Amino acid sequence: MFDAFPFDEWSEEITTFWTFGVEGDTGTIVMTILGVLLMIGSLIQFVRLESRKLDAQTRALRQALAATEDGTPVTVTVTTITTE
Amino acid sequence: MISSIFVVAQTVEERITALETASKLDSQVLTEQFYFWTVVLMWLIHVGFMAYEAGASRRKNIMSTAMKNILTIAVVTPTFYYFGWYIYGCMEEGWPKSGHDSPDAFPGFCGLTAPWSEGMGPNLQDHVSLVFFLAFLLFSWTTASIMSGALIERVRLSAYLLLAVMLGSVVWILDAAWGWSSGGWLTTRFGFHDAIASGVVHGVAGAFTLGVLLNLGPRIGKYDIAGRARAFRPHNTHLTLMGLMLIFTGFYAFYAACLVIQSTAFPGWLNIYLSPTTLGTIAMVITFGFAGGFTGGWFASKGDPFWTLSGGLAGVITVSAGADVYHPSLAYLLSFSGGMVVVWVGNYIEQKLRIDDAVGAVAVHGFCGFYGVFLVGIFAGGYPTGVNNIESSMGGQLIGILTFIPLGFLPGYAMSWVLKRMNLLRVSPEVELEGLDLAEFQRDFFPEFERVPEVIVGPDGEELEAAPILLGEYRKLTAGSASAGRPATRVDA
Repeated sequence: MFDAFPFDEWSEEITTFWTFGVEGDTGTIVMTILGVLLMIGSLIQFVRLESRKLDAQTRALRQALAATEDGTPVTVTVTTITTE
Repeated sequence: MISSIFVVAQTVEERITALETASKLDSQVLTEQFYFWTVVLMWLIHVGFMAYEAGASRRKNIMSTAMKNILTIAVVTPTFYYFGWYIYGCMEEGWPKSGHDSPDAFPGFCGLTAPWSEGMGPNLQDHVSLVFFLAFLLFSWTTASIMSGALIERVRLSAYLLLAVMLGSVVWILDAAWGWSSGGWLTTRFGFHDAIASGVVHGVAGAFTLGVLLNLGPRIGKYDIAGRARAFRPHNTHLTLMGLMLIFTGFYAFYAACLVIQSTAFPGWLNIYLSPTTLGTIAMVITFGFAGGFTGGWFASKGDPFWTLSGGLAGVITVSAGADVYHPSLAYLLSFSGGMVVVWVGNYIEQKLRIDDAVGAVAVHGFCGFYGVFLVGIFAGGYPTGVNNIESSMGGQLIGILTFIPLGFLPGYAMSWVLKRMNLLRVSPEVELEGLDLAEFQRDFFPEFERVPEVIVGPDGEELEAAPILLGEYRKLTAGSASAGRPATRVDA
């Protein structure tokens, strides 16, 4: 299969583009831009993912509070949670 | 006869050229190996930070605490690569530029630090740039991790990560460009001397952390109604002590990586300002720094294990600024003072200023970092610094301190203030009481061990059941809000 693919003709150009790029060439710039985008995207996503988790947990805890508003004694420690 | 002499001379010349080429390559490969192994060993600092902080946290916050240290690597590495290293290479003269050009330091260094430059990718002609970058990257992780422990058990993981990027990839590396490089304006103009980064890494990180703590606030239940400090019992003190010992081990590599190896020229080693020193000199100083610091911490805290080990770290930080020139006995004496002072400063911050610094980072790193810079002005004043041989002086050291304190504090305060306004700095009180691990990871990380009621140590030293105290504090905290006076945490023992 690989014999039918023009690997030899393309490989040198691909290698030049993606690996030992010289200063400021197109491949290096493209990789840098992609890397910066991943870096920024991951920072934003760290915040969003955690916010979703914390908001959901806070909502659940407050709902558990609402369920006890009829005066049922609330037993509490601070080590773990159980839900009814 | 004459022609044969010429032939012999030519042969000798070719051999000398070949030997010089081989020697140069040997030297470069030696440099490459040296920094590579310092990087490997500096990982121990992060193993140590993780163990230290996870051990110091309560059982309900173990994994969220450890994950901060691990993800520090995930965010500081790319940000330092894409812009942090550029700041170091290109902002030595200050911004705006001080006008004090120093082309004799590292000509062309700026051009090697951009992420698209030849120095930052695979390059068979360059054995040094990448490992030098990696050593600085490990310093950046360390700087960010200094803040990490102070914020545990209530900071959002993502907020910490954003703050770590600011501290590890912007703030500290900017001060390093100014005062921890051969061409930095503090070095070339004022002879600022901070050889192993007392102020540059530790002091600035401590100042940044203080700014963050002012916005973050204490953990729920840390202070009673009279403002007296309570103590949360660490879930595993052994892990904490082992973590500190691992940090100490990694610190030897940190120290070594602060030197420039120059195997083909006398004396073989230079400090970061390119002034001569030796590896043995700094190794003796760090060792005696630990000895003096442990001793000082032990006596000042009357034998408290936490402060004894923290005293060792404080002692080393105290003598780091002058570690390239100090005599071991001087290091022993100064670190003893640092180990004592840190206990008093740490207690003052906790009990008088009422700042909840969970691991004493502001005292250990912040105070002792700048204390160490100050001491160089006394004990190494007059010693020539850098390629221009500007004499170290108390004035130069004070200018450095006055530059670095606001450079660290203001970004930390400003960024945490913005995060606080956006409600992204701290977890909700409900999640804090329940523990961050369940919210972040939905599990208890010691499922096979029986859960016991949490204990809190009161201001007078008595051990009390934590639940009623924390719930009381929670009710006060949420008074006036939708869930006023009622606990939102449903838990059992």
